[in-house]
Amino acid sequence: MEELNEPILFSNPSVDLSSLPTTNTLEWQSLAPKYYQLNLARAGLGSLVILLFMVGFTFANGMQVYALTWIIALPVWAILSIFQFWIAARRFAAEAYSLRDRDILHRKGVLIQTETIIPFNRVQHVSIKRGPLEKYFGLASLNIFTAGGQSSDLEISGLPVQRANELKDFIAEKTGSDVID
Amino acid sequence: MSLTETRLFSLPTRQSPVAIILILLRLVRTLFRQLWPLLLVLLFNPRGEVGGYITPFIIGIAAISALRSIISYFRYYFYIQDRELIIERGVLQHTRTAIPFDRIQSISLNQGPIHQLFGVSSLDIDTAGSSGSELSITALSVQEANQLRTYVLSQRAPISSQEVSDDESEEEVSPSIAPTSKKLLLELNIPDLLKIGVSQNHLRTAGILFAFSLSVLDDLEQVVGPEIYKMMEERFGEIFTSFIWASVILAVFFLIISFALSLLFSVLRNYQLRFYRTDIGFQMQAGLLDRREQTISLPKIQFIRWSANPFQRFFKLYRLRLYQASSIAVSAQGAMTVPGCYDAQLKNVQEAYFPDWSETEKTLHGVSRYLVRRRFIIHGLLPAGLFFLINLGSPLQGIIGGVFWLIFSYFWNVRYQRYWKIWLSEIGVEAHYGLLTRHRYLLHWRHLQSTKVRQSFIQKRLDVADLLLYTAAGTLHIPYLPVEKAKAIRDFILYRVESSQESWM
Repeated sequence: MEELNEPILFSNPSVDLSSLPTTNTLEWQSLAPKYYQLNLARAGLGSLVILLFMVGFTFANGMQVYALTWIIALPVWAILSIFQFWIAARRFAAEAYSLRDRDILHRKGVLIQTETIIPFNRVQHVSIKRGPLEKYFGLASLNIFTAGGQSSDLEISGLPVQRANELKDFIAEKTGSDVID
Repeated sequence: MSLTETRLFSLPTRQSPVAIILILLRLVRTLFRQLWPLLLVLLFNPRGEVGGYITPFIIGIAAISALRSIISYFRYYFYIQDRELIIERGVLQHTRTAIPFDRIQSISLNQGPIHQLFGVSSLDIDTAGSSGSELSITALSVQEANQLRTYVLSQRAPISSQEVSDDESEEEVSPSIAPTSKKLLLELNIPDLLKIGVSQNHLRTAGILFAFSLSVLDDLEQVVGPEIYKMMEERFGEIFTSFIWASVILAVFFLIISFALSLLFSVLRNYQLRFYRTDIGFQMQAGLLDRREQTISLPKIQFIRWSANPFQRFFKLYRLRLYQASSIAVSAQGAMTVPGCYDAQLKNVQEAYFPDWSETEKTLHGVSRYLVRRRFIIHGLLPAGLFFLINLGSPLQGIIGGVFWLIFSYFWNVRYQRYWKIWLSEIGVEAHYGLLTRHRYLLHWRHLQSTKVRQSFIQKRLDVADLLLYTAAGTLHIPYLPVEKAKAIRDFILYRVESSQESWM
């Protein structure tokens, strides 16, 4: 049997591995407090849409829906909504970003947590995106693109507009990459 | 490159007249694909009411198609101006497309049967834009096509040599020359072709065949009406007296047909496959009816992956894929696939992609045993539970089947987890995984674009994480590493990428 799970990462490493920058001692920047409200608003809109759909379905059936259906459907809807709100509330605490000298970090996710790092020397371009809800709350999303395709692109949402612009300029300057507005 | 050649393409040039035939055929094929149910109705019309219209209708369509092909031939020009390849075309609407040489990723020559008959070739140009930005010239004499490609690639080269010059990796040959000299690495003979054909994934062909026959039945039903099923029942009813017999016979039938089909297609596709090592990378030519040619330059190869299923292992064959950065990278087309090669060719490609990999000091790592648990729940418990539920009528059968599957699944996944092996070094990584079909990949850290450490809430409790490595030609992942190790590996790779000036392409 070959020896697996060796405790050492590299045999005879050329750098002191413990001296490498780690993410454990990092200062994470949290997002704008309004992002918390935005997430809750999104969850509220989501459960409202489901409720409207259910009502619409009842009307489409000419009100011929048994009370029993609603007795089952309403609690299911309530549980789903509570779950949605719970996730939305947790999302704010889970999301954060951090800038280092040579890369940008972003962590997010409640059920599935991810920590993405993009080195500045791999950034292709940066852009800012604002949806209708984000505009209402005065927030913006920063998109960072690499050549690694859609799944590797980074979107940092919940930034104040000014901050997003500063970040965009900072990254563009660091990378010498294109800025797309 | 002589001046005459430069002048050759500086004037607007038409394609070879063979293009008319090819454009016409393409039109007919598109029309036929759109209209075949209608044609079927017209041809087998039981009442013969519309018979009188058929002939003028078909003649009309044929005339319009022919006219269209001829016009589009005369309206199509290409030329070279200011280091740009310019294509002007369009029957009703005139389009002018200019492709700067530096944005051209690769140029491949492809020959269908008609191309081969007339000694012409089509030229497909892949650019570094968004998807769908590929352009093609339908027909050009083989000599002209080669001239054009050599010229464009040689003009483009100075830029790419600049990119490579601040590169620490050693290029054996200066990449500033277009592929002029090349060494044959592999030529498939008939026994090789048969081996590759036999070791194909026949189950996949069976699946495609099944889906295809279902869709044909569906179309036929629309045309002929529901009587089709009645008709089939009358014809084959006696054989299919019981459902089980019917499914066994159908399954065997599909397997035999799909075996024959995938063998045939594989031989046609890979006929006279030649795999070359060129100055700048690799080149492959293959195919009997559709002769295609693909070139890939070394700096564009992001990672390589090779695999062998049990049949291929028996023949000592590998299926080798070279993944390149391109606009169509994420789809399968971005990769160059050598459907069957031997150890020698594999070594050659590895050596070219990653010069000192075999001598590099590496440490061996495995993945966490929790992977067994996850896979056992998904591939073992879930199907076994479903099987039990389906067989609630005869619980004994359900229990025996379920338990058998659980035992099998457990041992399978234990072996699966043990087979995950990661050789880590300071310059790259090689990973082995898969039990039935064994996959391996090799990645040089410099091709990395970004990284992600991913943990589901279950993984978080178990202190394991998935490590995702993004490259410009796709994503590689290593599942279920102890979280500290995943982060340590990630930190080290980032240190490598961020502290060096090596370009990823």
